[in-house]
Amino acid sequence: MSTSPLSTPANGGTSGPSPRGAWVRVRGYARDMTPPALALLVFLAAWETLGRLTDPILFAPPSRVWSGFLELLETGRMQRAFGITMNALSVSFLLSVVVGLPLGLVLGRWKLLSDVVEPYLDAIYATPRVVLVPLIILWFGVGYEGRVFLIWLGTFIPIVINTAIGVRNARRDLVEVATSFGADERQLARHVILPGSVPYIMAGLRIAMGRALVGVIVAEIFLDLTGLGGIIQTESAYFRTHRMLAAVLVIALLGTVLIGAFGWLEKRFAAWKESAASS
Amino acid sequence: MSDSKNVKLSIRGIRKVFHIRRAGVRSELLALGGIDLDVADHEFVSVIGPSGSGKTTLLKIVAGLSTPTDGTIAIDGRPVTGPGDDRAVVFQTFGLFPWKTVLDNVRFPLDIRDTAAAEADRLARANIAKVGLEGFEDAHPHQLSGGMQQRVGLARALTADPEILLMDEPFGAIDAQTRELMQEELLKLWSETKKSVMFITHDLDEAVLLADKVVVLTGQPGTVQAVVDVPLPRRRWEYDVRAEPEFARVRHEIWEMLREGIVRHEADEMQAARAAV
Amino acid sequence: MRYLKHLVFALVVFGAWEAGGRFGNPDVLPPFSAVVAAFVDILFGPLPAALLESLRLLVIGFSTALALGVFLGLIVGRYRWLDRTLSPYFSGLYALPTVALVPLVLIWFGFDLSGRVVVVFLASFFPILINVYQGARDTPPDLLEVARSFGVRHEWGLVRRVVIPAAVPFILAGVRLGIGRGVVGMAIAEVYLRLSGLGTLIATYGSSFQTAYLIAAILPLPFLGIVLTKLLALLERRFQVWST
Repeated sequence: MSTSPLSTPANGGTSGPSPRGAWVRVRGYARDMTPPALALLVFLAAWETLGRLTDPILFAPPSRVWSGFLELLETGRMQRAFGITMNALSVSFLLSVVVGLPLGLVLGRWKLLSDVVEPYLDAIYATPRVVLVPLIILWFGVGYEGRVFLIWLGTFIPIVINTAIGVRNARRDLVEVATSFGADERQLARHVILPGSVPYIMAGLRIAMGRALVGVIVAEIFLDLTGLGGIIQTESAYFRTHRMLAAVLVIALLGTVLIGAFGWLEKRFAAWKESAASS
Repeated sequence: MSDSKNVKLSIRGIRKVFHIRRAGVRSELLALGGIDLDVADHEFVSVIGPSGSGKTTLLKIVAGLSTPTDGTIAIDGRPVTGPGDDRAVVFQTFGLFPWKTVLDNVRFPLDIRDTAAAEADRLARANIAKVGLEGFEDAHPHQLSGGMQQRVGLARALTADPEILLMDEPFGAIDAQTRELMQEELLKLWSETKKSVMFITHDLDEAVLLADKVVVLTGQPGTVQAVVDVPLPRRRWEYDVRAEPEFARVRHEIWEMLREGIVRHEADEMQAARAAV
Repeated sequence: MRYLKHLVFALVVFGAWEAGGRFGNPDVLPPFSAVVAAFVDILFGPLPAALLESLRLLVIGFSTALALGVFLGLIVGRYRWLDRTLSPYFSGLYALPTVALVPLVLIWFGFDLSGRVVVVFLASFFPILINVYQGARDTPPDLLEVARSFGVRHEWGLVRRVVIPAAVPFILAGVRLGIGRGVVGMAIAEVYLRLSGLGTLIATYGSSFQTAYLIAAILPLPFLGIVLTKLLALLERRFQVWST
């Protein structure tokens, strides 16, 4: 907690961006990034050496992975696969939000229902999706619908659970404050319960995004050989490790960007939280 | 007692029984054992008592946030049961919405009443200025010190424009020096607005310093032990109240009453802690 | 009757399932009673051996991940230069779906037990590492000062007396996350690398369209995940007595 003097806000952010401040920030950033960048260079150099000295199938060196990436780009396979993956990912994520948010709000307000439903959600959540593949093939076949269902199944649950927790954890003292000023149920929801649950919902979306990424790769490797997961599986079957790794890296990058973006959103939406004041 | 003035708030025979279930065993706790108390128009009443005397419970009942087991609360003679526009609470832990800006927090009572936006804005800004927070309208609570946060709490209560201000140990969570400043400013604000105030505190100096009369509660169950008038002249920010012999006399009188209760409460606490260990 | 509501809801769920199975296509959704019968059948048949084999894989892979995760997490959390060098990559490694690495594991380690263990290890390792790292990094500095002022000199002494006890809640949270992911890793390894344990049962029943048996063979997995996670949550609560 900040115990700032009366005159100035502790963290007002009112001082405009001066060129000097920007320069200091850039320098600080450069200083922060130097050790990890050096570590990455050392790692890449070691990998390159190892790959050249040994079997390139085992340790495809970074230079070969790069050329594998270019090969996949030239034929257009990478772009197509990326589009397919993104399509299934975004559609199932959207469906998860559409189902998860309202269900979470209902479960958060209705204790009896959440008591009886949540054990089943836990059970579905705890089931590795890979073992459901045979069942999903029976139900949806190996096409697009099957993939979307497989991804959705693991993705909507963290949204439900987190939303419900957010609603349930509405601060009782603030409910009391709002009541003391005469707020009714609708105003309570609008002014206290919904805004208070936003950080939980955002955290749920971030977790769900991670789950969706895993789901899309599982679906593309085990259910329907397509997209980026399909490239990984096909290329590794032909021992073209460099191309496979190129696809792995694209997935890793995609995951970092997407989860990073949701992490950023989460911080932004919770800028009012006390914890934000300390940093 | 100030019989000459109109009674604004009248508290009659308030009892509160809590039903407790600990480890499956049900028991009853009598928190308030029949409270009678009047607050007159424009009167500042402090309520003081040891922990466990049910001060906060009493305030919550008056605020309409808790229902009494027995007894009635009446304002201007008409009984009230729930929260209403005639009362506004200033909370010990400030109770600010962390996701709202200072302006939106202060506007809150008007937003609840669906006041027109421009009017709500104007009133809220005026009250923010009144508590000395101009320029902080767009700040969020976490950016403010404790003292500043409670100024927001005060501005919010003023924006509700109640007839009775209910203050629940409002300066208890604020450091000592800021607290003195806030007490002074509260006195000034009160002399301008002339609202009736019921001020809960466990700080004896504060109780005497601010009030026209001090209600002393005894511990478990809470009952009114005495009502002590504070015959010090008003505009108390203009002279050093604590240096007045009258202040020392009233303070001493109340302390003698409280002392016994505090000692007994302390002994009870130790016994309970020993039993728990 | 605390369990009455659960009983009623279960009757609704499984009743609907039973009805759906009887009136629909039993190859797509066999009635619940058929799944129960299939479960009883494999319970006295191939299930115990398969489950044991799966558990062996889980235990080996998870305990390796636990040992290395705690060790490396403490080191990275305690040394600032390591923290600054490596921690930026943690989030990326955490975000990377382990399943994308499985084909690579196959190339590197082959179909043997070692390859399967590596998959479980990879799944469990990062949550444990990252949680232990956070716990070690955020050791309350005042407690470290107290320990130093009372004469704890060596790094190991500080770690043993302050860092690890203070990080216990973090470590347990990492273990709980890690074991959940470990179960997923185990399933992937057994289905993808070489059919073994529960993976064999699931793949066999799946490819022969014995749907009731397929569902019966899947059921132990969520059960395993929930029981392990609940046990660890219980353990966490026990260790958090002092923190409340």
